[in-house]
Amino acid sequence: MDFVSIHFLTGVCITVMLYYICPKKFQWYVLLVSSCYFYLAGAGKRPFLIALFTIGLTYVAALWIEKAAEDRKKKRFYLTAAVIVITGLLVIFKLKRYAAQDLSWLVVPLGVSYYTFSLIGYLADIYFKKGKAERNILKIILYTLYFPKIVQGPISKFREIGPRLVEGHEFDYQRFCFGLQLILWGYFKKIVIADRAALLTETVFGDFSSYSGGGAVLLVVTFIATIRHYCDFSGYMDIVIGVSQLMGIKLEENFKQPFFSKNAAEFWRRWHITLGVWFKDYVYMPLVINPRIIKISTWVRKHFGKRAGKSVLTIIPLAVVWFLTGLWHGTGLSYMLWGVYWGTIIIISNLFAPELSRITQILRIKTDAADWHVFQMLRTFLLFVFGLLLSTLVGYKNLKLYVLTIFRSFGINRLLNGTIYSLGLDKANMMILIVAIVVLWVVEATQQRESVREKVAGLNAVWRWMIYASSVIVIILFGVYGPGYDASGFAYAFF
Amino acid sequence: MKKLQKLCAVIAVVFFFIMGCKIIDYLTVDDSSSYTRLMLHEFYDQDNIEILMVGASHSFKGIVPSIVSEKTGKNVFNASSSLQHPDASLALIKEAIGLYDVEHVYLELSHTVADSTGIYSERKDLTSTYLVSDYMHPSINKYWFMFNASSPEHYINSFFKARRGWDKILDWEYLANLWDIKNSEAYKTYAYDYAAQEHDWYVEKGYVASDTVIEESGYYATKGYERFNTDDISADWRNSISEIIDVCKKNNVDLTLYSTPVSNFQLAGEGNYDEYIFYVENMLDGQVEYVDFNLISGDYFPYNSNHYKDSHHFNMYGAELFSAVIGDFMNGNLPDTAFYDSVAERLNSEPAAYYGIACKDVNTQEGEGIRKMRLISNHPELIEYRIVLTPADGEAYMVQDFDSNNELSVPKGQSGVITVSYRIMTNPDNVVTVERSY
Repeated sequence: MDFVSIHFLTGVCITVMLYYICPKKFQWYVLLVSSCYFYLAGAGKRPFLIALFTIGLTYVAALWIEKAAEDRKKKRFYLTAAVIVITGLLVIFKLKRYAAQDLSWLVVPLGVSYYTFSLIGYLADIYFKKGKAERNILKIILYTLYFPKIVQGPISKFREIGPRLVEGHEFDYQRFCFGLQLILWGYFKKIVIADRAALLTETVFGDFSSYSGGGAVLLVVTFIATIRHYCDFSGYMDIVIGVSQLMGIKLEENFKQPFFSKNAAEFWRRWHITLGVWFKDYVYMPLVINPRIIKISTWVRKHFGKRAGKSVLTIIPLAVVWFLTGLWHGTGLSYMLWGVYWGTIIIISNLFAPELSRITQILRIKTDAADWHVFQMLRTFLLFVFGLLLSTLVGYKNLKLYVLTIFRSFGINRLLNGTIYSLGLDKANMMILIVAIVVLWVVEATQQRESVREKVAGLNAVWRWMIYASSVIVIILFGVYGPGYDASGFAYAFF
Repeated sequence: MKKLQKLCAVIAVVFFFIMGCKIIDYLTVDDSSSYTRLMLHEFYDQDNIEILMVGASHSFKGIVPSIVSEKTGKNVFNASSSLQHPDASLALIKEAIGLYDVEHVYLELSHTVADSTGIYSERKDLTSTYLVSDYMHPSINKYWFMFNASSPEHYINSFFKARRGWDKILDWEYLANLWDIKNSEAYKTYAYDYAAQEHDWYVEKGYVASDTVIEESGYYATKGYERFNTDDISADWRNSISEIIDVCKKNNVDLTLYSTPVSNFQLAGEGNYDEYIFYVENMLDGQVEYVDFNLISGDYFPYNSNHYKDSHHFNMYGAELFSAVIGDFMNGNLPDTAFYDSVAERLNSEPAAYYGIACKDVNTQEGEGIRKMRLISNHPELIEYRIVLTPADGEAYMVQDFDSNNELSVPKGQSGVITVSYRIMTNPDNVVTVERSY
């Protein structure tokens, strides 16, 4: 179901109303019914049944794993079998397009990447005794299909979100207002910035091989494409978290002003946070304490020294994590290269942290100076942009063409003579986009220091009310949606 | 106390939102030439409306309320608007019934609107809806009309006027110009002293006059090239008519459905207008009176091209004449014998005449396209044509010497002069030559 639609907004209003009308004990049933409805309406019967099958399998496997108690072999068998089946389904859906036969009947379930990870995480928590198996299958269904987050996450842990979904909540005015504000901010990012930027970036990168607008324009469009990518995904997250907050359900943050990161590792602690946490908890940590890896580390330490041995415990888990992260985003070579790219950067910065620190000392760089921080943020931003170019915007095949366009025909005059207004966004739209990006930057910079919502809440009532009313007007007036615009799907919905 | 504060906060936000929308509407929406703004302003300002005319442009250009009022002695108001579909007519009828003691509603059923109404939920262009809804006073009737006029994806544009032309917000010249216009006396007092279209101007009570006259060389129009297709009439059109009948019945308001006479050129060109009459009569099944004035004899209404501004709209001369005719009809002063049984019968009974050229652009496989032309007459079997074409970039050449063939084609996009000489076989010595650009 399209988030930018009257149907979705009406559905949310009805769900929230029914949620608070119902007694607290039964509120979660409202969420369950709504989630099933949204899933059926958005995906159809067949994907719904596939999702239910996967949930049913997980439910049974969880009970068996818990029942197996101290029998590690049995436990491992149940876990492995369940993970293979669940992941196998995901792999089939991901590789469907490469199949020789016509598999058009095999409809990909909505949010399959996200709910697959959620269910695997649930099973792993039971295996490692971090949580208990849920006896009520309806609660597992709700946890998996919970409607605000089914399309693009966040990837939540059952032991954290499960209780929150079923515990029931009283109406709280302040919390409700904060939820509404977050939804507004999400729609601002999505339909004012991201969908507007898409009109430009799709024109340029949709058929990049025939682009002829010059390097300068291309750089500007690349910057806008990066902002678009961020706003599309984080805008969705804000709407999801805001909708949940309306009902008192706290979801995990998935973005924390990532472009203020000073290095790659920090970036990935601020961008798609729950995916990173998932890989850390269920891939990285198990690998770090895996006896085989420890054995290899010990052997390397014996032969090549302590540092080398320790680095094995960094390199292997990180390499596996980033390889899988690349695969999770897409099965094409571009995504695999993207995974290798980020994995390499993070491994190198990890392994050579002491050397890098020594270099800054030798160069007498004041690492606490503001301009150094700005340099770091810019550097991290550019690393992200390159990764985006590699995976999504141009792909590895067109990277050479991209670089050549920048250096061979920079064409600064084309940036100034209005060429950019012929690439899908006229002057009026471009002005709106630029102003919106400036607003985004101001808010994000402010959010770094203090909560913007609380700052607004502390304002004089008249100012506050005018801000709310103006925000709604701006979104309605300048949003890219409805007749004449096709609401571009959330970019991460196809994962 | 806290609950009261919160309630006040909600009300304040809603208030600021509405005010903000109104301000942006005022600053950006140019309705300075809107006829319906004037019409609906007058509509809400009547002492009473006894006879309500609704329908599309055939009605607001064809019915002069003052003439009909004079004939009937009642206050007549013409609440018609451009391409007004029956759902908008229904909304206006309900509005009028709610405000006034309406005695009789006359709904104009133009066949050119019937086949373009389509399915409401599939509408892409809602201009004709907005022409009415933008100026209706807030009411359940208005919002019900707006909700049902389109699919939900259009609601934002429907309810939030400024959204439709949001990009104007950055056009300072446009904003400044609009500000001046909206602060002018003419705009504020609903007394425009300029016309939206050249040769058209708003008179009063919904009537828009035009002094355009068809060229002496005859009509040249796309209307009249193709036959009318009753399959294009949607279920929504029929359902709205049914609702109108029900509403009028429930409120003891007399209802008459009618069609204004279009030009003989269009009737002869389409060739099957009687199918539309049959369709409507069949649909109504005697529930309400339907009078198609295309059947009226030339003795009562002269189908003179001087009375039309195009193939189906009256100019002011035609409107005045027809208003007197319809006034007589309302008073019961038109005998049944004033009407033929069919349009075909009427056209056949009139002397052979050449009306003009109907045309249509057609794409060809080669991609360039042609413009097909057909010379229109009520007796094609009796007329012979000599046709000479003089392209703008070429020499004159004869397409055909006198022959009954009335079809020709030129490359699409070509312009020039077409010279048609015609003679009626019963009087071959009388050759009339007309020339017009194409």
